[in-house]
Amino acid sequence: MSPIFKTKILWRIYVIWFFRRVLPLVSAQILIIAFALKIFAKKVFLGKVLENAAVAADSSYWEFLKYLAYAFFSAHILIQIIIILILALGTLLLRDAGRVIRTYINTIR
Amino acid sequence: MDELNKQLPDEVVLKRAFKDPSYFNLLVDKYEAAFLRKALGIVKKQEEAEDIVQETFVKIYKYGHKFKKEAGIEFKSWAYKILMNTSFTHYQDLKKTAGNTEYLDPLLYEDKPSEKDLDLATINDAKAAVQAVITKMPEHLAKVLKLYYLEDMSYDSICKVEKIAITTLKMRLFRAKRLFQKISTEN
Repeated sequence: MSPIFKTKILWRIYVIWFFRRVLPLVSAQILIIAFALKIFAKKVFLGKVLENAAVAADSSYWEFLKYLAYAFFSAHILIQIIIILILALGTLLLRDAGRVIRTYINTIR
Repeated sequence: MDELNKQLPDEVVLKRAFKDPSYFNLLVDKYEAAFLRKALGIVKKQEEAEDIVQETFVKIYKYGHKFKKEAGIEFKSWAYKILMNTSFTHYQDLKKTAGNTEYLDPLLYEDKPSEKDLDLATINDAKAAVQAVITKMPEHLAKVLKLYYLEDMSYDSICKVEKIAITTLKMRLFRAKRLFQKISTEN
């Protein structure tokens, strides 16, 4: 049997899987991240935080990390939740991107 | 795919393919040759047969969640039913574009199945033969016959689908059966 013929079938199966299982999930994740970032940007003056972080980074990496931890724990609880949410969803998004690539390689070999 | 996965029942493979489409490889490997042979027996053109097989696999994946294994309903026969329906629809389309000049090869019975799909052939040859005769009939008669005998639909459901009265349906079925008999004996 021609491998191109099989690849054509599997490609279509992969597309269906992508649209059914991955796209809705990833879209929801992106939407939530975008919404969280919007709130984050409203509440936090990121430029100032980065400026201070740069000053802290000048002394040592340890100081830089300490500054980030200090900034995180001094922030309002809502901001802390938003930061955790963004990090968690960002990780899930990366995991899903990896899954999409891995599945593509496994399916269409 | 390892040997262990190849021993899994088809419906389990299909279920796993919903989560990880690479499992679908197993079903394609198992059925593509037999499907292609069957489709080629109907449309006689390699490209058309490949289109039908491709469409069949896509439908199997798309509607696979509707398949429930019950006594007497095997995945194989369900998959073959999809293949035959797809072939039938494809053939009807071909006939329309080719101006009713193309006919099915009536010798579907003579399809030589390999030992592997001998059981499938016995399940499907009768249906294939019926399909072959049906495709030679006028569309309105062919459709009611197909819905009633091949898709096991009730009178009521057919009437709803076709938007016709039950007496009309009975008359069409009667005429369709007579024509079916005539075409079958001519062959």
